[in-house]
Amino acid sequence: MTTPSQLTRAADGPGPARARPAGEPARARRRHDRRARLAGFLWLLPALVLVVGVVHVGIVYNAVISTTDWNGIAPTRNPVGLDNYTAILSDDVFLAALRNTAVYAVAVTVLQLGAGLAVAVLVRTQARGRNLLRVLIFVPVVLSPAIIGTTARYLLDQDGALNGLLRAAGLGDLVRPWLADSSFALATLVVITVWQYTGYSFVIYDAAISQVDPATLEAAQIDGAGNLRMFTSVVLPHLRGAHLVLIVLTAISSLKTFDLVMLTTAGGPGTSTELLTLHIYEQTILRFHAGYGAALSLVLVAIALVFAVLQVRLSRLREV
Amino acid sequence: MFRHQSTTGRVVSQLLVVVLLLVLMLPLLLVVRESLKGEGWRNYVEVVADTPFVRFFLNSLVIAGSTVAVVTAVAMAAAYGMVVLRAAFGRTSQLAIVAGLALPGMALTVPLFVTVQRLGLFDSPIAVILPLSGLAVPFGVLVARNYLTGIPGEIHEAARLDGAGAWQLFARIVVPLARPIMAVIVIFTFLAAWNEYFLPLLFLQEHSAQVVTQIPGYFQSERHIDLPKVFAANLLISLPIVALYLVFQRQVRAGFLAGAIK
Repeated sequence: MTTPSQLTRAADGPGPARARPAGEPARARRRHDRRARLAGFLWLLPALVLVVGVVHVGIVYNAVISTTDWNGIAPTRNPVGLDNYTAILSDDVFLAALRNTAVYAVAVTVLQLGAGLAVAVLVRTQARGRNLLRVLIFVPVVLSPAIIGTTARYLLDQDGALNGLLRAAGLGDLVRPWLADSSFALATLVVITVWQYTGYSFVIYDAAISQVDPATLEAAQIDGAGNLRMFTSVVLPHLRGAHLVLIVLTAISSLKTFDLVMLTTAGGPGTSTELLTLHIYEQTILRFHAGYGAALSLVLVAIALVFAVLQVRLSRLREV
Repeated sequence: MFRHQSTTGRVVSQLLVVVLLLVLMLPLLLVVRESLKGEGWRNYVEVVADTPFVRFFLNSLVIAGSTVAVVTAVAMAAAYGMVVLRAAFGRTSQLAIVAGLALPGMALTVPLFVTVQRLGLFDSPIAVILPLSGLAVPFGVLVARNYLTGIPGEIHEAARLDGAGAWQLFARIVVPLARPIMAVIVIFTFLAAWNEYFLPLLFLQEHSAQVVTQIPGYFQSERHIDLPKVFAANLLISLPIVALYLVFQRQVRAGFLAGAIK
């Protein structure tokens, strides 16, 4: 079935079917069109130059440097072919970083979506404080991960404020250096991230739930459906688009994560919280392995490109 | 929606709301307590008076403001060129621009570092503004393009028949109509630039050139870490951005929503 909005959109679209003002010679009109389209290109040129200059040229430069042993400073560099790429495959730190990035991304996505959905439901109950929750849940989203990182680093220290609270509450057994214990560090980073960004998934789910048709809900209620039943059979089916959008966006932001980890664990202890972004930083800036860092960067570019494609496809769906 | 609850349901949801509020507030309370250790409120005075705190703030404002101006202007112009003027090479350009959408800035460490070194741009705000803009433009173009596609073509056509040139059409018709999506681009770009840590870490090494996200590092680079001042500084840095959010709550949330689905 064609909805009215689809009809207007189709009529607005570019194409030869578009109505032309009558009485104008077709050839002059076409020439004018071509000139206007070339002039139009000037309008998008600044954006194109900026993105090509920063992103595309940068990626090509990475590709060139990645076939050398350059240290980033010396005037000379020697070609090494694909050695940097074969080295990646046997780089244990890289493999750990790849695994950690995947674990971090999946854990953050699952918990953040679950928590965001729970909050979106909670603010629709009669519980006191629900409006305060609605406001406060989003505050951490606008804060800088760099600030959250330095704060967390000291609050979660062995002698930090959190352990102080645990001791005072008689939960001394739980006391540990949260970010310096290799079996807890990555999980702690996941929790910090979920704490910061649950407000984001809440906003998306909140909007999606408010689009559920009230008449359908009322009908379900009259039919005697309980809250749980109403949620699973009326609300949940409406949230598919929201899940998809959030999964892609959370994966992208997990892939980009650097500040929080750099300022808390810097990848440690050992390689337990090493991420792809940190590995590139260490190799390029701290160890002067520019050639190898460039090869690692291209791996990150390839992964990011997959998610860019997904995000563009989702933006075409235009629904939550 | 879930107004009619059983007693158990009511108790459980009330408990969850209380726990969530506690989890959200607890870090803030702990930070306030830690920041007052030692010299109490004097910690705050000293952070502002005895460090280049104000300078860091102004630098952040300059960088975030410039990035917002550049990104909003070029993204709107590009979307206008693609959608309304149906620019030549529009499809190709759009593909090239949007390809940078999910790219972490980290992947450009080597080329950016080499460029800044060659051009002697260390400690210049441009070393941060240009890469930040290049990385933010793809999102701006994507949402602006999608928004302009949704505006009926008759509006532009009517203005054009009235004799409006390309520039007038942009300034008088398209920009006013596109205000909501421009707000989205401004909010996103400002937050990204204000909160950016990696690029300043690489390129801004003189204290006189540094930005707010580097303030905690400033206290750690001294011989000993002055913890209460780190916490006081972190609170002071976060206050303006939280205040801005509280004032523009609706716009910020609408912005994040539109940013996700447009």
